[in-house]
Amino acid sequence: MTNRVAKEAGAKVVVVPQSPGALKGTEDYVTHLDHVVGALAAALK
Amino acid sequence: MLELGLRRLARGAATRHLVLALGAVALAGAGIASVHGAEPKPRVVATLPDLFVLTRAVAGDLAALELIARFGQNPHDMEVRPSQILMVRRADVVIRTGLEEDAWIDVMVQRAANPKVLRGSPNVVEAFQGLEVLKVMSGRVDRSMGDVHPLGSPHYTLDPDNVATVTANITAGLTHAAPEQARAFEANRQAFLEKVAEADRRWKAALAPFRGAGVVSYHDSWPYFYRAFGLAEAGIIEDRPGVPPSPQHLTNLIRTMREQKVRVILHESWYPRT
Repeated sequence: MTNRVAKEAGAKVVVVPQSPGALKGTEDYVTHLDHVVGALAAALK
Repeated sequence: MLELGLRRLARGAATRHLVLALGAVALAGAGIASVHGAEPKPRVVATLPDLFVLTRAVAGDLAALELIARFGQNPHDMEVRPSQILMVRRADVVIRTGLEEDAWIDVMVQRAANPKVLRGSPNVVEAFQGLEVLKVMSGRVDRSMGDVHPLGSPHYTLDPDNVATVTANITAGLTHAAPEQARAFEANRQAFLEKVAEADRRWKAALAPFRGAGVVSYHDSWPYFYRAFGLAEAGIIEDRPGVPPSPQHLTNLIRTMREQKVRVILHESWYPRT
């Protein structure tokens, strides 16, 4: 569903861990937000 | 009839196993205190991963810390298991959001029959206390609205500015259980806050060029994050949490995204993308 909305709206999908540890390498507070901020900033460029 | 009998038998066996396991845990706990003579480490249970990592930062190795919802597990999909009831039964401290995303902890506490961690006890940390809560609902709330949070959004740890308050609440709970470690908990907390402050400068610099940009997400997870970094919530795919969105909602959302030139959808990793 997200892919379809993104395609029709011309947007990118950024998969992010909602909480620490939801993706590998995000198992503490700082690495979690490092991942979210980094992925979002890259997509907004 | 035979099937019913087998089910009863299985339930009886499961209950006996649980009783035996609970007894073993109680004996093990008593052993820790008597063998070493010193104060045992407090047993601390955090309901969700964000609270777990913040508690770990404060407690270091001065507490025996356990997590109920596994890393990567959607807390809306939790089923209460005997292993979780055991965790709660032996807990000295429970760390919970206070905003009901982890409301299943009440069922676990009830089944664990551990009066120490009944809600309202100083051994129970409601980690949101002292924060400005966003998206508090007003008016009638019922199940047709999905897995909503009437008391407000529970995703407050996604704003780094909230971490000082949340960790202060956690520190108070840990200190109540182990007052002899008060200074160590506070020293750990201060060191952690310095790390977060340093990282926050990096995060704010990375997102500064996009201040005011509209972002859409699948789940309503990000109000505190948007506020922290000057972003704007342009819409949510899942307009009722846990309920598939209607075609009309998606049509309106896509139109809004085109009009506002929204370039990004944040999709939480535990939801399917298709």
